[in-house]
Amino acid sequence: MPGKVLVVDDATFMRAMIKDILTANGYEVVGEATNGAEALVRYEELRPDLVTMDITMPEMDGVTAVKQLMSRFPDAKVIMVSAMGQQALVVDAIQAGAKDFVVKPFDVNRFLEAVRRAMG
Amino acid sequence: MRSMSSDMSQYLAVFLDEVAEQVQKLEEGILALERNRHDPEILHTLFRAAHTIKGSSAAMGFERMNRLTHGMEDVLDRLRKGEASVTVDVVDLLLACLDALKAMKEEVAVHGREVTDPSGLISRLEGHGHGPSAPPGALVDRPEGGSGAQAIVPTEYERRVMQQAALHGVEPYIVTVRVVPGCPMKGVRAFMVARALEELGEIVGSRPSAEDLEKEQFGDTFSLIVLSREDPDRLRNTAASILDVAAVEVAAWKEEASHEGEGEPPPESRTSQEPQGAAEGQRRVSQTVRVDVERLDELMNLVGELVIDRIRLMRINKELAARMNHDRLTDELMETSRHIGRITNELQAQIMKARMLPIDQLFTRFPRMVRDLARQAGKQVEFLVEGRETELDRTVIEQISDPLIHLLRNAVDHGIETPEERLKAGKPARGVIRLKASHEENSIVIVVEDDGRGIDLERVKAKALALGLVSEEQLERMSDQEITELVFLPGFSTAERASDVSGRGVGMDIVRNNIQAIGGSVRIRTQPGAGTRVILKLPLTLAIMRALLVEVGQGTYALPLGSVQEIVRVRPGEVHYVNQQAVILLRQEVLPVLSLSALLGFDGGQLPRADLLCVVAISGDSKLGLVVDRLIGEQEVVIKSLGSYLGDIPGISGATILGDGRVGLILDVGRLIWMAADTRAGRRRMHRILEQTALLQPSEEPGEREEVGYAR
Repeated sequence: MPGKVLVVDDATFMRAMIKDILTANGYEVVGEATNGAEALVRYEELRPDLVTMDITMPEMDGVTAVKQLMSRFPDAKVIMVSAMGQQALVVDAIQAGAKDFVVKPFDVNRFLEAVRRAMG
Repeated sequence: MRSMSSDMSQYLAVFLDEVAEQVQKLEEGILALERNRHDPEILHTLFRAAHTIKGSSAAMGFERMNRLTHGMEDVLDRLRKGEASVTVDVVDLLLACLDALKAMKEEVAVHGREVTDPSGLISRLEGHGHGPSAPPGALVDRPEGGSGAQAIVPTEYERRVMQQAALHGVEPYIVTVRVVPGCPMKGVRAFMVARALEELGEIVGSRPSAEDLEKEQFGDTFSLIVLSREDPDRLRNTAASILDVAAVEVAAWKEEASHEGEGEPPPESRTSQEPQGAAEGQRRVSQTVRVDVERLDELMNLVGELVIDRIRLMRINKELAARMNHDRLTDELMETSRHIGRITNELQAQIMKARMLPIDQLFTRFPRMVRDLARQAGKQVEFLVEGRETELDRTVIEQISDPLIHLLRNAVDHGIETPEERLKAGKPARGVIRLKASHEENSIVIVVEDDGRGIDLERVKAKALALGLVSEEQLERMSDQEITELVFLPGFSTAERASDVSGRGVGMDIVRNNIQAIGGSVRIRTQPGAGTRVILKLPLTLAIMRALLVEVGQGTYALPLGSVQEIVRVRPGEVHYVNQQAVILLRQEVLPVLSLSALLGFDGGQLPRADLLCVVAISGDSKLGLVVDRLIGEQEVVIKSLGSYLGDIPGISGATILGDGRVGLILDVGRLIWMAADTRAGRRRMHRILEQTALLQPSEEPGEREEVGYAR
């Protein structure tokens, strides 16, 4: 069941790659954001089925964004995109309500599996 | 991103180990499946194995392996759901997939990437299933072994809490979770599993501790003690819904269960990564280390040198003591060298032990081979293996692989009859081949036995005659046993495919040569119509053996003690001649006698008219009296290869360094006995070769060799 995704990442390359993977697998990337604050605005506006959320971003990091997002939209589905060594932050995000996480550099199948499960 | 990312490479060794383990499970399972086509347990096991490889290959980015195992998993899933039935074709296909997996595993190990293209196999798999269907990971199985729950020994506190819970109708469960090997941030995965389960109950403990889980101080498995009113399936599915969870097992905790488990380690206990120690609530330092085999070999070589020096030391000591008339210094030296001797022996024994491997390493390869051979030959064979745990030196294991393959192939091709023949002979259609290993004093005995047609002695005779290997007269004098052993003669079986000739044949001379080359022996017993049994007797190690040292001319030779029956002194009057062959009567038994010097090609073979020193050498059931000049004594010799430039010398299996630093040649008694039967040809060959080996004995000029013989 394809769905609408909001891709949040400050790196253009990562956004492009995630978008490509999702699009190639039948998902619709409805929007992109480059930091947490922007993500909150875009979420409210687009109401996507899923958000992929980078952790380290300028202005507002991914974990803070998830906390604020979940308090306003408890049904939001978020997958964290973490770098290596950010275990503690990932745990924070999951405690805040993120559905799952992947670690960069990630395996495409693994990423898609996380997306599929989070949407299901 | 598609290939193995850098953070994965550190898991490669673990991944390969796991694949090897699962491949072995697949192999055993597929073969078992062929015998019990409806056994759901086997199908589950196979499914789990394919599933595990699928998961970990995806994690490691080995896409071909992943696709292949995904396809296998689909077919196995359909089989276990009863949507398809197990046919010989399916089994063949699964075995073909298995071969591809093995190949890929090797490729990954050697080149770091897959080379084999599984596309053909995948489309065949899709022909059997509906092609890849379920999303990977949606079907989650149990951790193999299933004993994770039993491995938990609760602390006093946990036990009390669990007892209390049980009293209040809340079930205590042990949830054992295995994550995909090499998955990133497995600590977070563990956290997610715990978090999900906490929605269904209360977690009162974990193995390893929560702290260790967080620090990722665990292998691929961890266990949680969960108190819950939910049914186990709910817990299982919940834990399984977390990404990167490869397997989940939920077991209700029973007070007694925890005790039973202690004496019975789970099957994975061989891999040190498994958190066995964690079960005690704290990490236990591993008691084993992995050592490169080459290091052990080197150590063994060094000990070999030490053994040589020990012998030299004793010898020098003796001489010195005689010269100094046993004063205090030589006595002390004697004591010290004795001590060194004892320590060396101990060292040698310990290293030998470290080099021992269970023969299972070798035996596991055979069920598949026998199965394939039987299928090709249109025969039904039940293959039984016994004594897998028998340990022997790894070099011996390497050396017997080919001979065993020969013997098993013979058993299938020539031993076991077709089902029709067997039924006609009043036997069950399915033949039995038995492979048995056991320990016997200082050797290992391996038996390959079939209940097939046995060896047809008449046909062996006819063939041996036709090939000119024996004469009619010789045949008449031969016992049935000796006739049977003709199959070991070089040339007996290589002349044509032996399938129509006898119950045995192909390459038996090669088998005997290989086994004798490592100081072992081969015997063969057969009963027409009832079967054949081949018995291999092998030394525990190849590096060092006990030998009788004898002198002939100026050379010293070592006879493996295993092939020396006794030493007799023969008076000139006791030697008789039968057909120009010297013989003696030894306890009513006629024993052919030959001078070793003649056999080695130093002289014409005339026995001197004097008292003779005769070593009764034995190989299999054949005996020969070898006349030598002098006995030196019994000692341990370190076997050295002759080196490739001398090649294979009939009658000589190796060399050793003697106490005085000279080279002694180790005699291959089995070959010598055969050569004695064919003395003239053998002598010519030997002479040529020994001229070359003069290189080994620098004290002798080749020109002097003519004078070496003692009976000219």
